[in-house]
Amino acid sequence: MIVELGHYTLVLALGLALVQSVVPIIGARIGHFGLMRLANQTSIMMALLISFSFGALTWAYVNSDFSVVNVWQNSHSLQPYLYKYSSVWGNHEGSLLLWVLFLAIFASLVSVFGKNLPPELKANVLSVQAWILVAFLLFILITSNPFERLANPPLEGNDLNPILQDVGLAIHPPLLYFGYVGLSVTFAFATAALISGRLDAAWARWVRPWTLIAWVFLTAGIAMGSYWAYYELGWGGWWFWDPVENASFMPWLAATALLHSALVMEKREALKIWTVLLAIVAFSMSLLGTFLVRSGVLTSVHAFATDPERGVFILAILVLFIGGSLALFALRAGVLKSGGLFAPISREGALVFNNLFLTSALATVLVGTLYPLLLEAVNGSKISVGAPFFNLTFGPLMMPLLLAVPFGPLLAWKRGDLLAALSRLYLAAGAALLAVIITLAFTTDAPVLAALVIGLAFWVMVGAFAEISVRTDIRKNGIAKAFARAFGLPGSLWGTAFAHFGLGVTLLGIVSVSVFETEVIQEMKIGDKATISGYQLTLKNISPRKASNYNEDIINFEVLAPGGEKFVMQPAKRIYTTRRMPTTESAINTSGFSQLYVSLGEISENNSLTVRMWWKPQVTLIWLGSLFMIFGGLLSLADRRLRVGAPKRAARASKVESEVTING
Amino acid sequence: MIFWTIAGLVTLITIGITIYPVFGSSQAPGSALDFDKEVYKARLREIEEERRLGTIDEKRYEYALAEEGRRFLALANTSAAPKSQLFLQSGKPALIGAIFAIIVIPAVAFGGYYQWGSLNSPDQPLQARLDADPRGQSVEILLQRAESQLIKNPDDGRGWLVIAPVYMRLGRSRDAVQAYRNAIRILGPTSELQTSLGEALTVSAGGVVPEEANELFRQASKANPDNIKPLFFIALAFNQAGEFKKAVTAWNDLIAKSPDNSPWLKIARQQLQLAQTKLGTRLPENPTARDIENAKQLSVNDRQDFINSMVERLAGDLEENPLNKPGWQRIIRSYTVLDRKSDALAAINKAQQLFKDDKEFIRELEQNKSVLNQ
Repeated sequence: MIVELGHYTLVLALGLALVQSVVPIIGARIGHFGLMRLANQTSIMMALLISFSFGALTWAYVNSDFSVVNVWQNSHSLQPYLYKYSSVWGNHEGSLLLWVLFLAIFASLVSVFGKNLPPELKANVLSVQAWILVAFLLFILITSNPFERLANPPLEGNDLNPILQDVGLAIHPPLLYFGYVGLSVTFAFATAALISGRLDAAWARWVRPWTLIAWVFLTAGIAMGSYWAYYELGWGGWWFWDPVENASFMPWLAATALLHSALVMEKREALKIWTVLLAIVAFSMSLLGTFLVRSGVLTSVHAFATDPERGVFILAILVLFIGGSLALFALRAGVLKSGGLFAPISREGALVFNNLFLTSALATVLVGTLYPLLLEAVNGSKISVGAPFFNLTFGPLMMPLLLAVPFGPLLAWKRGDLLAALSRLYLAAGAALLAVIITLAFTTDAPVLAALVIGLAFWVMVGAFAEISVRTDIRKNGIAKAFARAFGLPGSLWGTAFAHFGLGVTLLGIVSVSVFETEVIQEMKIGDKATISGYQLTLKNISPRKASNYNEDIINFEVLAPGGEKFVMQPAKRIYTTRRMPTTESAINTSGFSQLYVSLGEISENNSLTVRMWWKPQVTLIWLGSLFMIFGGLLSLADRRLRVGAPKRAARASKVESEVTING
Repeated sequence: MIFWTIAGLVTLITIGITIYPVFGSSQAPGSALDFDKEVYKARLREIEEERRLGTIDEKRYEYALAEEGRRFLALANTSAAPKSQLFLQSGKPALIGAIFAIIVIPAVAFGGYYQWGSLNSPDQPLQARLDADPRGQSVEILLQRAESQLIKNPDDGRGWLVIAPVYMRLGRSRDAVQAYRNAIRILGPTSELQTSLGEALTVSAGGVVPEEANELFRQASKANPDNIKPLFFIALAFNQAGEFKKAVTAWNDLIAKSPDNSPWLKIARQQLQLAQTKLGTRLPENPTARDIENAKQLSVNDRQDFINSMVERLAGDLEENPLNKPGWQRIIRSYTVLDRKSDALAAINKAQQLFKDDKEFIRELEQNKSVLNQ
């Protein structure tokens, strides 16, 4: 009965979403507060209903209720508990339910934390959110119902795809989805603004925290996904320009551009139309990503054509929302007044520069991702646009952008002084130059370009803190006072610094591993030795092990590090019993920021094992950098200074508001 | 019933929560301008902060204040004022909105669930199913239960021992072979187990005793000379191998050791006759018509002649999957051994049609035919 109640509450949520998608927006139109206010309650109720539904499916997974088709297809009674939970979203139907759950949670968050929003805006936003909910609830119920039942259930399930049986899967999709879906809020804000025709600095201020939350989670989701692919797939790569990866990267690029352009709008009331367009594009990219991953169009355009039900449905959602919002945009953009003027060299100018490059990069990735699909659809030829294309197009676009990053925060609004900004960046310039010289001096075969990019990374990293250093001014104030001042600086300023610093850190990791990585592939038998970057690996023995739902052969390597210490690395070959599917588990040893990576190939006829070994210098910086970015985003989100209170009369939550006033 | 009670309750709560705010009479939170004022205040605080930190100088500070002030004034003059009067409560729109919710929510919920839901499908968590009373469950469920137990605990020898004969009865002889092998691995070889494994192997091979099974029967017989079953198969193997002299001895030995009313005696005697015929040592006394009638009667009413059933199964397999050359070879051999001449000829004809391009096989079939027609 729990399962069927979960199904029922999902259908009930659809009814509720229909009401929420119509009534509040009409209330806003005719100025009826009661009808607008309805959305506050319904969105919370909807989140509760869908949470119950999701909980019911989770219950079925944890208790191996194979009378639910979805559970039978994607889990196994002997799975470890963690994977019974993560199996819920390790499949098409369940992951869509998670998507919808997050959508409802976001709507309820807007309802709870949106006390500072004017009622019309809030009602419109929640109605638009409800449109999206209706579309996706229908999609789930009609084409991808996770609650389909079997009358005579088998006693054992088909197990989860072994590649997905990993902690990475437990964490990565929820983070990413939360980011994807977070962009629906900014989309709803943009659409609401277009509907009401009111768009100003206040709007940007209200949207800001939602974009930041989405951005933080997108960053975390992408970084997590990249690390997961790195250690689980055993190819040692951290980014493959795979369509699925691009699908998550494109919304990130758009959201990053949006964060920056909203800043201009908030402070200077300029770039309004552009910002709204970006908000639409960002969520469109989320939808496109969902379409690419969920419609099956990626496996083959033809597979999509033969079983088009799901694909066509998502495509319809895509066309409806992207097309609809763009049409609305075209209708209304003329009504919106453009804002303040600024000189090309100014904070605004720098942010426009940022936006130009980010959106061009987005366009590049979009073309690289969709072109092969279109080509296959048109004349059936399969081409793959891989790393070379993206390295040639995306790479060069990023360089000037990164070069400009430290300047931005140092330029004044309206009219800035480039030379003055540069003079404050002498430390960063010095660090960059030093890095270039050291790289060239201490490496023999590194290309000059690599040294320059390493210099660029240091330029970004050190330059990120230039604004902080200018504001605290150690030389004038002395250490104690400088520290006090640093602590007094607003969180958003620190946030910017950390996020930009993280960008530099990631860049450093990327260059370092792409240029200085070494690789050894060797056929090994027990007792054989291999050497890579000063590490000596000895294949000691093979020990079989039996786990609950797989058997594995652990290959024990004894490793002698250049420093003389010894440790063991244990890559393994697994066979998952239910699906009879083999996987290999790589072994990774981290020292400092670098990693030694051992992955297993096939066992050849003369009984020797192909072993691939990589030395990956500074590879962890790639993901550490994203942690800095996330930290920066959270700091900025926590900046109380930027919070807007609710008007006194409304606020039974006036406590919060008065606190803000006191703080100010 | 409980389901609809809960579902109905949840639906009622949902409708209540939806329409309550529509009629509520609390004051509207303020005009749009009030909200803009909050943003304006936040901006002012921010500018003050920047001056305190020294980010902007006095001149820029003044300028920023003035700009914010202008912006707010502009807002106050345009948008908000008339809107704030439009915050009406209740009235006709509220009623229409509420009725809309009262109709749409249950209509979609009940209608949608009727369309997509599986009413009356109870939850079936695995543990509960395994713990349920085994009476009244189908053999398949019981078997699956036992199987999943054995997957979890593959060293349960008694489990394999219990499951193996069930497999045999269901015609899953290959699974039975595996089960008996596991039982022997865990419990050690006994005369009975070896015999059963040999029997399962023989059934899997379509009724022909394979070499491995023959060896098992010999070991079983040696371990326990009182065990008669292996003797039967050893004799049968002689028949099938064409060693009729040894077969006659073996059959005689079996018949001598068997109690008078043993069910296998009929077959044993038939097989003995067959071996004797082949050897030409059979006594020239024809059975009377009555004898033949009796034998027919017996073979129908008696315990199922398992060899025949095996052959039938193989025949069935071949009907489903006819392009199985070894299968045809085996069934022709079986019919020949069992002296079912017309069946054997029919099988040969069919095989000749199916494999007309396989010259060597055709030749072999022709030879078989000529032997049969002698």
